[in-house]
Amino acid sequence: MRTYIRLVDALNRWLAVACGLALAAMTALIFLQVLVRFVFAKLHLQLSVPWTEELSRYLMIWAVFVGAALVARRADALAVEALVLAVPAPIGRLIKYSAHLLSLAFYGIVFVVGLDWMEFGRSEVAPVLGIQMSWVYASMSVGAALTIINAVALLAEVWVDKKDILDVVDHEADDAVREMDLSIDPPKA
Amino acid sequence: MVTSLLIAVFVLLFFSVPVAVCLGFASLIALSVKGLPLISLAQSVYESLDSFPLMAIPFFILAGNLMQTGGISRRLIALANALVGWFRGGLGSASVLASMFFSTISGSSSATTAAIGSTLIPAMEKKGYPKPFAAATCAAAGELGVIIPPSIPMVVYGLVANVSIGSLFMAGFLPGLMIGLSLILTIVVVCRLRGFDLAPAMSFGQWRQQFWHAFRDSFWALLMPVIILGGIYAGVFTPTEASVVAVVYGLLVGLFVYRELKWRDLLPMFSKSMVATSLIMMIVAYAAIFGYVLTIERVPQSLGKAIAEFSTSPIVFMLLVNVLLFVAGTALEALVTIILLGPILAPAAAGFGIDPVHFGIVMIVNVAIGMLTPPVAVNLVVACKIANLRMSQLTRPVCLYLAVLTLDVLIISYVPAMSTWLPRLLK
Repeated sequence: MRTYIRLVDALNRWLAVACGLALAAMTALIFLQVLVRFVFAKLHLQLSVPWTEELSRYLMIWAVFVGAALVARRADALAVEALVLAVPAPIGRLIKYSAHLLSLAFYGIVFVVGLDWMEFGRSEVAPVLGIQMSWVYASMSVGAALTIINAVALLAEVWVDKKDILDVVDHEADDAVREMDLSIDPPKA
Repeated sequence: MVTSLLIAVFVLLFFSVPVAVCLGFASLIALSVKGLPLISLAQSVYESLDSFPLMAIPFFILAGNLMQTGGISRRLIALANALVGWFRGGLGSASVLASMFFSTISGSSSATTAAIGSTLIPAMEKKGYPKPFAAATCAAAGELGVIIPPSIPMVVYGLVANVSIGSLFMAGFLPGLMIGLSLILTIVVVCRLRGFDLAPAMSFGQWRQQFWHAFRDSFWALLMPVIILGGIYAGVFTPTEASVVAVVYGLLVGLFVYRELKWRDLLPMFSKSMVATSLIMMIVAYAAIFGYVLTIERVPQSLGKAIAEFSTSPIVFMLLVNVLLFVAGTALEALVTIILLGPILAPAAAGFGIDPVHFGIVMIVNVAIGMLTPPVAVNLVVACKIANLRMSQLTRPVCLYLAVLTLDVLIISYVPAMSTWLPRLLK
């Protein structure tokens, strides 16, 4: 069980790097497009880079699905926690577990639907890049599979380490505060 | 059918099922009950994600992160303090002003609250402000992050309600300015009544020297909003292009001018920004199929008809919307409110002849106030964490600010020109 969790976390580190690189590539591509439109055009350099936008859109789609799996590892997806925290803890835990199981079932269905969708993509071609759309459409099933792997890792960790499933913290607030601890000097009087 | 669908979503929602899963699951059930192919789910998910305007979200998140670690936000705070720190209540006003500067680059309210609060809450406390008041000030001012452009909720609203994102950005400017001024006014009055924050005596010469110093130091940081907003307002850039320029500019200033950004910090920052994007995009994606189901069930039309039977007055409609959004804002995150209610309310508002850009601003301001209303109140949570207080200790000052903000939201609701004047002027 612990080996599984470690494996998933090692995989996630690579996935996080991939997401970061995808965003870096998107930045470079769209900035290139801006340069072409505003700077090169002024210099009378006739260039056309229609592929930059399409490629970065596809990169974004892939990164979004992969990133969503990383979110699942931290049980970080936006959810309404008010009721779960308001009822007595055992009932809250029961609701929380049911919510996790329902999510797992949902991503299972998404995985299957995504396979059909990928199959459908074989008959479509990207307008500029000319690749088969199944390369893009595969992201849904891959993302769903990665999400399931991560959600299972989260549940396994709760079980192995005897953690409380209700210990869901407000990650947005936490992250925002942690960020500032690192980056701002203590105020001077 | 429709009612059972909506009930299913709300039950799932309150049972802490992630919002994206709620929307997707309810839509799957609706599709299979109606005998429609489940592949429609995949189709609308990809139609909504495969979008150039949507790409502004990761870039604006990244730009905000870059300027926090790149030394830009600290300089903006120093500048705000140099500008207004000289009068009674000046430090509190400076935190509002700094939030306004910060908002012109960042599209998020929690980030704005954290950046301003971590420096200015302790500083205000030193100057005699009660700590709860200081924390509530930063939380209230932080909501300007989504009202003053650029704004991630505006990008999302523009996409779900089919309104020009550039127009929304322009429209948010004056309402943001008014809210900022009303907060400053509140602080000045409170400081006078309660008698704290005695301003240091300062001659004009000293002030000019201090201001000039802060201005020179923050010049490159100030140029960032000029480029972003100037580019969009002048109609040169689309919001997405402006966002990528902001990222590149933030990188250049952080790495080469201020040199507070380290190369090795970059990849983790890019990863973190992309994962934060995924969180938002998954909801946008599954909201698309949910919206499709609502449309084939003609929900917006029947809702519009129901409201029209209740009242035909746009004034009453606007009031109902404000009450509904206030209630929704206590329990739902800002983006969730926009994604769930935007596609339903926007067509109804159009039926009353309300300008779609104006209505968008009313929604944005309302969800921003929702960040201050517990139990789900991200700005309060951030401010409490920084100040090390419990949320209940902030009740009184937050109620004061909520009263002021309610007045603001009513003015914004009933004076459409405040939102529509600037976009029309610049078109």
